[in-house]
Amino acid sequence: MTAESKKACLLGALLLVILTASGCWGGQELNARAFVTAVAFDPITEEGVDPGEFLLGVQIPIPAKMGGGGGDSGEQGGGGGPPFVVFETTTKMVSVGIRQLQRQLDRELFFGHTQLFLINAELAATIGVDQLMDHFKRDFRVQRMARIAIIDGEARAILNTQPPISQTPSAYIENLLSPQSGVGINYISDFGRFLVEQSDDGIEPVLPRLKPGKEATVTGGAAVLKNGKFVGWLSNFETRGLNIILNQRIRSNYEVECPLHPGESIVVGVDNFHSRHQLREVNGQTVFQIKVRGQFETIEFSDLHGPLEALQGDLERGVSAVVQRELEQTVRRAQELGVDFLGVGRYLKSYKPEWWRQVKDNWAEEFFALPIEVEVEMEWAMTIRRFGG
Amino acid sequence: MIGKQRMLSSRQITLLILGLGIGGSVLTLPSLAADVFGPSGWLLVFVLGLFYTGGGWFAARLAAKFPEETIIEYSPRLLGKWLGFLFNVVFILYLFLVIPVNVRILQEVVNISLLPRAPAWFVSGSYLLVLIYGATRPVDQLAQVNELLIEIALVIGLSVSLGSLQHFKPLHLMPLFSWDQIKLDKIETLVGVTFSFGSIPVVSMVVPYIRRPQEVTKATVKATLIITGVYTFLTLSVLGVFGYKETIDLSWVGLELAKSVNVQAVILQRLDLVLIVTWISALFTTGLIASFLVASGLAQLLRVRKGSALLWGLVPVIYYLSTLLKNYFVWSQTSFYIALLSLVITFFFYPLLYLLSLWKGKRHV
Repeated sequence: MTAESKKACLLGALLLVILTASGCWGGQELNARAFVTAVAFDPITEEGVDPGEFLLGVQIPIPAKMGGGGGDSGEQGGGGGPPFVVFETTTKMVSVGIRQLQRQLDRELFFGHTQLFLINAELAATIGVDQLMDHFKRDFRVQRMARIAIIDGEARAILNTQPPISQTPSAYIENLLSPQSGVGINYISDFGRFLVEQSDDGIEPVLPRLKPGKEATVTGGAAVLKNGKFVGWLSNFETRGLNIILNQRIRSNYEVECPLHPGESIVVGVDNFHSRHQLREVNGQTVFQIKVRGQFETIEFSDLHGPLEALQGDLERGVSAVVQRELEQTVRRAQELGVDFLGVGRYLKSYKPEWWRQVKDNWAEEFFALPIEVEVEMEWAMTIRRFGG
Repeated sequence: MIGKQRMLSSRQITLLILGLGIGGSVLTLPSLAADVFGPSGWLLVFVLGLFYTGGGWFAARLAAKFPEETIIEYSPRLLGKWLGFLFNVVFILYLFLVIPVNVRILQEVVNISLLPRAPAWFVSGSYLLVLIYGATRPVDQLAQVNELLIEIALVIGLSVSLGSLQHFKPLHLMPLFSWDQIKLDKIETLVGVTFSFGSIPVVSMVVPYIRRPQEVTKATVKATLIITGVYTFLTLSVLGVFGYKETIDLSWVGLELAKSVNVQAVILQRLDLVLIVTWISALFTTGLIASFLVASGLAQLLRVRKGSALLWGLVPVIYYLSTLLKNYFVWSQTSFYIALLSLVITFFFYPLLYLLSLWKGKRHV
């Protein structure tokens, strides 16, 4: 082969690779895809329906209506109507449902940008979250960072709710469920965390709760799962307690009684929680101890005085007692439900594996009977702007 | 080999060893390690890495004793004509079998992430052609390409691991050495873990090109220690983020780790695609170096002047073998046999050849 023909061959091969390997082969134009931003699962309420069937809904944004503007009305650019469309179908298997939905669409449904999975509580209790999410945990395109929530009501109602400010409902809910919401009564989790906790021994997953309302969707509280199925709710304050126990780095406000003036209130902002877990022997009995340290600052007084040096000791004790009561209530709730969402079993498995081996098969009963002690110590981290009333 | 231009620095040798070793198998390594050793899987990787560093030391000392020759040339003198020939066949076969597995892994990674609809024949075929063309280039060009690609891949890979530490839970790494979680009966998986470490043979083939052969031992030990560090850190990150149970359930656990990382205030917040693109480079360096070593090994074994012609002739065979590896289970099984060859070469033949070389009184460098 001459040098020239060699060069020609090389150039030809190079051209072939440049034209094809850069993504042109099998490539798909953006406008040939329907980007699913949220997925909702609801039970079918009609009688005589197979109990294994459910309603699968997907929300797809309409790009032409996604431009700015709109203001508080929720109206978006590109004409009237919401900037998204919702499709629904009934099915027993998610992939079959997706195929059915696809028949209504001229674009391929794409789940690589799905931000939200919303599951009705009743359906989560019967079919189970694990089963409903099976398709998505096997799809490479689905992000582990997608949010997943249990809905106290109709999940598809959230898909159709216009957010109060101009964005898609899924982006709005995703923000509400993310740390940026800054609300201590929300449980922050995602699909990846759910999968990790679901597969592990000695801990059961908890997912955030959403309640669709007429005007807006309300967050706060959490759903407790056992063996992949919904078994009960945690109240707002129990959820905050759980966040503290699990070191979720939350900030929140507590209202405590003024130590100097009974009947008057002081609102404190709490922060910098650090929770440590350990096993210790008390009177020959093994106790699981949760030790919590944290800081607070005073942010509002109902009385005609501000921060006083004389308040220090009593206020610290008062705030510690309030936080401790809340954490104890969370622990009680876990033991009542017989679901170890605190990760006590996970702790035993890690640090007392021999003990764990003995109790793991009967853990729900063992967990119910295990003494769990909570100790809270809060410190007044004074950053004071004003002393007086 | 006398007369070959000595143009490779010891740094390039280190990177060539990294380039052959760090590839697709790393993406599945933590999963295999967790399957055998549970939450202590990272310790298994670390200890195996130290063993391979020992093997690397033998290989490098041996290579340094024959600075003008490759192992293909001096092994028959040490082992005898027929046993030497047999060893050379095993040695080349090991490097050769790496290529179809590498092609298959690349095709799978591309299909699950970048081009889901691109036909397998096209992805494998075009990659193989680029690979073989690259492998027929002179060794200095190959070393330069490898230098660039493997460094980028390492930086991105380590960034993903570092980024994932935001989800790291030390609890997931406990208990350390709990016998009920260590499954030494999973011998196939245990051997499969070693597949990622088999890059030492590079040093036996490129020593005639090294500027200062006396530095080859240092470069090799450095490379195997870096590989050990990288693998251990990656496995530690994966186990700390996912826990060992979820890790066992995931196939491409390295990619899943990237899917869990969200770096705020960076333009490309999601790192999974960045990792995939750079890891294709890492896969490329593995295939490229393996192909180069096969070409050069075959040329010396068959006493042919141009190894590149042989390599082009092997393209249909490599392609055919890659198509036989039809799914994850099949190529995992194949990588077990390749890892077995690597174990035999590293822990039996290298020490044996080294001892024989001492016995036959060759000069130390």
